[in-house]
Amino acid sequence: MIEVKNITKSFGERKVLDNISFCADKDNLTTIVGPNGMGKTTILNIICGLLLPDQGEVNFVDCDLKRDLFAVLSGDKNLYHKNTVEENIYFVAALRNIGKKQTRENIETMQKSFPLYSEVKHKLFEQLSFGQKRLMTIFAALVSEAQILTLDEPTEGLDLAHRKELTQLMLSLKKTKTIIVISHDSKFVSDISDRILFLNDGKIVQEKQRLTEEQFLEIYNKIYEQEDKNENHI
Amino acid sequence: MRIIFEECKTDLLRTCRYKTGIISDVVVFTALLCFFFASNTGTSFQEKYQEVDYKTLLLLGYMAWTIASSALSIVTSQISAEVQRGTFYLKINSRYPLQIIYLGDLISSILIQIVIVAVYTVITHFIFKVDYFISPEIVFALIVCSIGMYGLGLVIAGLSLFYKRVGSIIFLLQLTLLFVTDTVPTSSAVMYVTKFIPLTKCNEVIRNCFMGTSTVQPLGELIIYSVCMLLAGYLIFEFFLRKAKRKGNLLLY
Repeated sequence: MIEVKNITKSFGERKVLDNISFCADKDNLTTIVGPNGMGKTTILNIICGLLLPDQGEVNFVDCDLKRDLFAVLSGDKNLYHKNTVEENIYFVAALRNIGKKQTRENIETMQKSFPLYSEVKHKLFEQLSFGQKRLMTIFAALVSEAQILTLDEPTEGLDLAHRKELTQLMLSLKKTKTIIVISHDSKFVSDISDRILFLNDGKIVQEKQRLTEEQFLEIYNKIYEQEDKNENHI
Repeated sequence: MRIIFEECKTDLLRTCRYKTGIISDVVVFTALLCFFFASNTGTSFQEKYQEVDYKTLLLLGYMAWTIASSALSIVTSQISAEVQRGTFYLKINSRYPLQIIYLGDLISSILIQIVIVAVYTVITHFIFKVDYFISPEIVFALIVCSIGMYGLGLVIAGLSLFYKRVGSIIFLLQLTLLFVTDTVPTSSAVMYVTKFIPLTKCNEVIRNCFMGTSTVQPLGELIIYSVCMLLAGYLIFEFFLRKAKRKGNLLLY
């Protein structure tokens, strides 16, 4: 479990996060939503240890930042473009002190859920499509035995097929992993989230349990006074 | 040890896939060395070492500089590339300190520099008839010097984490080292200040080795300076890493 306690962070004069607290745990997939510039990625960066808060702390209960957390960043900047998928997977596992034999066993176990791996393992990471890169990054996280996943805009740039695949993956993974997601995708958010945190001006202004897409959009628009009622994307 | 090996392996594979990088390095290092030979740079080594073959003495120093300048820049160039590529966070969240992981890149860059050195020594052998030999003592001195210069590189890498865009400073430092560490003849006044740089001592050791004179004292000093440089680099890098985390500098380059 991750406990985010009273996190405050400012960049210069601007307070980006103001006394943020929440917990994230297995079987309780947490999604953080809000318009751009509200501090969502800053929260993930603090959880991932890339940024230190001015005040507050992040506690890893029964888990460890360096052993268990894997951050899937936005875009396709996650693994080494000039290395093959297989080289990347083994390297990420080595960074987490997982031996070659164990990595091989983990690949064999996980491959059932990721048939894509055997197709692309000898390809350079840069040769994969956007969606394939995203899936292989998550595969790397699972092979390296990550227990906590943070995903920043995971559906950004994905086609419908890959988005559906990612949704199914999140639903199956959330039973055993602690997952925190940032997303603008209303359908994806409502499909996968057990809990949704609405962020505004660096504060959590609402916290809701499982919502349908319509309920989500209604709350979102009420909070952020948005007129755009696009069904699939905010 | 495994993470150093894996880092070295993946970096070597990446570097080999960017073939033009190695080719351009071979061209630049060879051209510069040919310029030194053609312009009779290093004649004062004849007087200093009582040795007629000043070109070999210059070549030995140039080889040490090639490897040392790579050791100096490796961490900064890797970090700047990784922050831009977005892979830096993988290493930040690794179970090993960054300073240890990047030793793999140091080894990989030394292996690549050895290839470059081999190419330009063969070329200059045919053009300028320069011969040399490598003894275990010279190899040891080059390894110790690389570790020391890696420590100095960690200091600059720490600064690059916080202040960013220090690439031009690295380039300037590499060029400066060429002229202040007795790689090409350097005045004794300058050497008085730069004798603490591992490359300066390394040049003394390998030339003494070539001349058959005693290397005990300069080798001892090289080891001491290199260890001090490595420890200082480790701590200063850690200090700037923490400062960068506080300021948010790790997130952009």
